[in-house]
Amino acid sequence: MDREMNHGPAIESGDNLDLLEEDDRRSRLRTLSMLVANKPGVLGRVCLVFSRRGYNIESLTVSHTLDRRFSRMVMTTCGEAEQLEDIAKHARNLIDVIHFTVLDNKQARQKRDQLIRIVSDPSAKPVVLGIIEEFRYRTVDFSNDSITVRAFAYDDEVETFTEILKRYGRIEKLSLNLRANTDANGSASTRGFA
Amino acid sequence: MSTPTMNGAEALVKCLEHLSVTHIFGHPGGAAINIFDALVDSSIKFVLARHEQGAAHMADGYARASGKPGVVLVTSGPGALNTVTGLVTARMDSVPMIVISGQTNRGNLGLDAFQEADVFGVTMPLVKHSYLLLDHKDICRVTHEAHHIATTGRPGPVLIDICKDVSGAPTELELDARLDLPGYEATFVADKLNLEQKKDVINMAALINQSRRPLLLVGHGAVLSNAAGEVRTLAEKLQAPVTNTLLGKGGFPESHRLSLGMLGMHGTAYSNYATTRCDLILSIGSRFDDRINGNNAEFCSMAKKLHIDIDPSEIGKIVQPDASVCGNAKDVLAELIVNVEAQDTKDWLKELDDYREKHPLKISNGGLSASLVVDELYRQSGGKAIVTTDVGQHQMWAAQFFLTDDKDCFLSSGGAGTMGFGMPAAIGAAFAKPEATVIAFVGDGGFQMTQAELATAMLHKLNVKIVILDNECLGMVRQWQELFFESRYSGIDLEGNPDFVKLAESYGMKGFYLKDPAKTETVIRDVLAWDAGPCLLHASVIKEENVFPMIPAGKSARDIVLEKPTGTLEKPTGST
Repeated sequence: MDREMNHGPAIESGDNLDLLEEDDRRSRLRTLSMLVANKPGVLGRVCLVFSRRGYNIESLTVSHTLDRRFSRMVMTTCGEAEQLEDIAKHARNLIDVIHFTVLDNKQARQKRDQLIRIVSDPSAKPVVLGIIEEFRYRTVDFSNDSITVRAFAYDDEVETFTEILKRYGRIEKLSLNLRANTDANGSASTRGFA
Repeated sequence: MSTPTMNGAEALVKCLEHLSVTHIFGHPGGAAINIFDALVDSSIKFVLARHEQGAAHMADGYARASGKPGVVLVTSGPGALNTVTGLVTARMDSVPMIVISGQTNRGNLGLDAFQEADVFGVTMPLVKHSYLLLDHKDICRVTHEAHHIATTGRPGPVLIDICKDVSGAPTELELDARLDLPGYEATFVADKLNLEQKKDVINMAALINQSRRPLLLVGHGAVLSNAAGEVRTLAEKLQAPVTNTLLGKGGFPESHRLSLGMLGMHGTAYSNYATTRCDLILSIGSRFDDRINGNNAEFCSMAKKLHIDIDPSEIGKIVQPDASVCGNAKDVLAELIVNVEAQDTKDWLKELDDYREKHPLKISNGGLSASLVVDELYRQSGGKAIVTTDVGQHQMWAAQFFLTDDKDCFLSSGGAGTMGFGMPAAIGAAFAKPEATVIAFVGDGGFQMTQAELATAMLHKLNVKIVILDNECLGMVRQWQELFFESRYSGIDLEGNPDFVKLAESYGMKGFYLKDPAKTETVIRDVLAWDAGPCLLHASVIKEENVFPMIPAGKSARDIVLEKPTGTLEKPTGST
């Protein structure tokens, strides 16, 4: 299961159509990365390229680079690849945009929401909790033989986390993708495993 | 370090002089007063317009006629905002322009100070680039950058908003200020073709060499890159028919036997016919505008589509080309010419000639036809004039009947369709080319939007002939309402028009009147012979005359309407 989940888990809902639309929207999310001049108004110029064509910006991060003359802008927007290519061309035409790249999903290193269950011997619990603390993940469920944590993190970071914990028990990654886990009654569950 | 001997405004004006600016069009005001003060000691001629929109169109006309950037100087708030229409006009038609606007003191920014408006913000989506000058040290560099950006690549308008305390601050003059445009040089296409472009040209040439019924489409890009010679060589080598867009007039002589005249909604029947029959279309600096394509899905449906454009964002924007080259049209064509082979297109040309004979452009009878007035002016002037137009029916008749053979001789607001453009643009063109005869074709509607500039034309004794084709209504809208809305006329009657001859006379300008078609020849002879400054011809033309051919918006060339239909037509699906 390799779906982008950068907006937290979808709200539990019995309406399959909504879920399908939500899933479709997510699959069309694209990440764009640009290097721009670090000047007043540049964000406005870039945003206008999107808004003029009816595109919504779903998320946005801007900060200056080591060289203070420039900023790095990373944004996600929802759309078809061809249309985004058109937007990319217009954004590149802006004098203040130095580089503009549409990242493919592999390049787009995005944080996503993940649930991880660690099934371990009760004696290992103090160590496991210590590691969870170290990663600053949140414990969301607790039982005699398992701990479930929620991580909003990059995939590779979560991989490191699971590598370490493997020594103390079995790791299950719980999918947050509701469509894939909707059972016959239409109610969502988080029982599916990725 | 020595003490600066001048203020920001003086440095700005010195930089403009250094950049060979000779004319500035504008209107003064408090926030720009430092710059106006600096103009007193400058060699630059300041032309006072009666309204900032007029100033912007004058600068636009000046730029289109001369190839040099037009410069506008206005004050803050309403002054700058009145140039917005002019900025859009220039942007849509790729016209190099620099608009300098005064702004309130830095400390007042955002405080709703008197005549303060966020001009930088308002104009952001309309300009090629813009600056809000907050530091006097940036003035010289920014002026050079603005000039560079406006005139290179795909030209366009650049706005410089200067705070009053910045233009008043002591500063150092830097005539050799270094440009700091890391994001611009990357996309700038230099004079010489690179390897990738050469490869693209070879791909393009291969398709052309397979074509039997090629068609060349000449757009504004060909005119802007001064490629008329190359277009002609290519057309003659291929023996390919040539059509042009409205702004492409002058990119290839329309009197040439290979020319099919203008294409599109009100283009000639034969050029539109050619698009339905050609097996290849090569756009040279045209952006496949909806006025040209009508219906994208059916546009040149049998043809391979080739596209040459300097702006990478135009390629594939509307039409996915089978081959394309991103570059300066002149350079690309020079390379293309050596890679294509001469062709035998006799049958193809014969087919088009036959069609042309069957469906020529027609002049209406039954009173004074606007097209007759245009045609007579063309005939008597031998086409030796710079023509400007407003927007509407008269614009299309001017495009159809006043053939254009040379570049920079047909100036019209194409993309933006700005009414009120014609007369101020003619004034700007007359400043750029004082030796030329400038004819401004305007309708009674558009003329009245900027008619205050009659004073400017008169004051400077410019050789401008203002031809008002007066049909007492907003004709193009009337035409749509007649054809598509069952003659339910709404908001088109220009009741209350002034006596245009008397209006001209009140400015001290010579006025001529024409209503009787039989007098057309003599009146127009007098108009063309008038050499004591500007004059105005009030031609009272048939109200009900419509522009044909017409392809209803959103339809394909196959749906062309060649003459007045008997019933009401289906409402067009295209937007405008």
